[in-house]
This record gives sequence, structure tokens and C-alpha cells, in this order.
Amino acid sequence: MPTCPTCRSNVSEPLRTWPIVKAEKNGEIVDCTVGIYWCTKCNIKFPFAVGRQRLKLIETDKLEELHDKIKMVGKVKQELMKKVDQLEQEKAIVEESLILARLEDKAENLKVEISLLKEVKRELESMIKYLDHTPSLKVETSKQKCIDQ
Amino acid sequence: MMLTQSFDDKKKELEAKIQALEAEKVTLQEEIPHLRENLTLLKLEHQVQALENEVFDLRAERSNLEQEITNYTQPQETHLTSI
Ligand SMILES: [Zn+2]
Repeated sequence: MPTCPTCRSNVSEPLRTWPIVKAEKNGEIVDCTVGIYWCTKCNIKFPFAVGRQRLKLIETDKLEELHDKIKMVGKVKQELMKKVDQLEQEKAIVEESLILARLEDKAENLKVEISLLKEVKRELESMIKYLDHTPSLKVETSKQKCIDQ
Repeated sequence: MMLTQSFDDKKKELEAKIQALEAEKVTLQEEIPHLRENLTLLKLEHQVQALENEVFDLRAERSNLEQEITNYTQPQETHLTSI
């Protein structure tokens, strides 16, 4: 927003405007619109440049080369995005197979634990069976009856 | 989508399997202490029986010895009285 150089108040509407294109020392071209503004407080007119754009002159070949480069970069970007998508899909597959592998591992560990527990159970049962069916108890019980008599 | 579906199915299947295995493990973990207790009781019963057998044998031996003593002492007495 243009401001009055004396009282610093904003002046919105120019009295008139005209475009200016001028070459800078560094080879750049400055393109802007200069307007003449009028401060009603101070009753002075002052110029103010708006829409300042720094431009550069470039040979057509170089400009086309740049356009080609931009197109190529765009293609590379698309390819990279495809690759990223592909890698994300692969990652999802790997993650899923990792989850399954962990579950399978857990099931395998449980199977081993169960087989050990079953072995312990079988041993205990066979010992109980042996003690249960050992003849000594029955024979000795009859002996006991003799003692009691 | 197809892959995710099959993953979900496989995951569900494995989780169900794990659940069943865990239940089996818990059952076995509960059964084993009972079996150990039973075995301990049986062993004690056998020990008691063995001791009772020993006592029976010792009583029988004592009875035999007492009988023998009686047999040896009675004829001597008759011999003495006959003199
Ligand atoms: Zn002013």
C-alpha cells in the first residue's frame, strides 16, 4: 500500500499510472507500474511503484532447454512417486508377513511347551499307573488282614 | 484387497490356533499339579504298605522266636522234674 512520504498515511487510489520497464546494472530487467498518488492531508503528490517484477532476458534455446528440463524432472518425479507407491506396497506386504511370522512363531513355541507338558503328564500318569497296578499292595493287604486277626 | 483379505484370514486362523493352544497349555498346567499330588499320595501309601509289611514280618519273626523259646524251655523243665 502506498504511503505518503511526509505523514506516512496510506493512500489507496492513484491519480494516474503507467508501466515502466528498465534495465538494472546486473542485467536484470525491472518491470513495474508507477502511480502518482495524492495525500489529501499534506496536499502533496508523490510517485509510488507497485507490482515490481525482476525479469531476465534469456535466449530462446536456453528457455526451451529449461522447459525440457522441467518436463524431464516432472517425469522423474512421477517415476519416483510410482516407486514410492510400490515400496509402500512392498512394505505393507513385509509388515503383514512379519505379523504372520510372529504369530506362527508364537504357535510353534506353544506347541513345544505343550509337548513338554504332555510328556510330564504322561510320565506322571505312567508312574501312577505303575503304582496303582503294582501287585504288592493287594498281596500285602491280605497280609495285613492276617495281622489284624 | 485380495492380499489383505487373505492376510486377515490367515491372521484370524493363527490367532484361533494360538488361543486353542493356550487353552490346552492352561489345562495341562492345571492337570499336572493334581497328578503330582496323586503320585505323592500313592508313594506315601506304598511307603505305609512297605512299613506295614516290615512290621508284619517282624511280628512273625518275634512269634516264631517266642515259639522256639517255648519249645526249648518246656522239655528242659520235664527233664528236671523227672530227676
Ligand atoms: Zn501526507
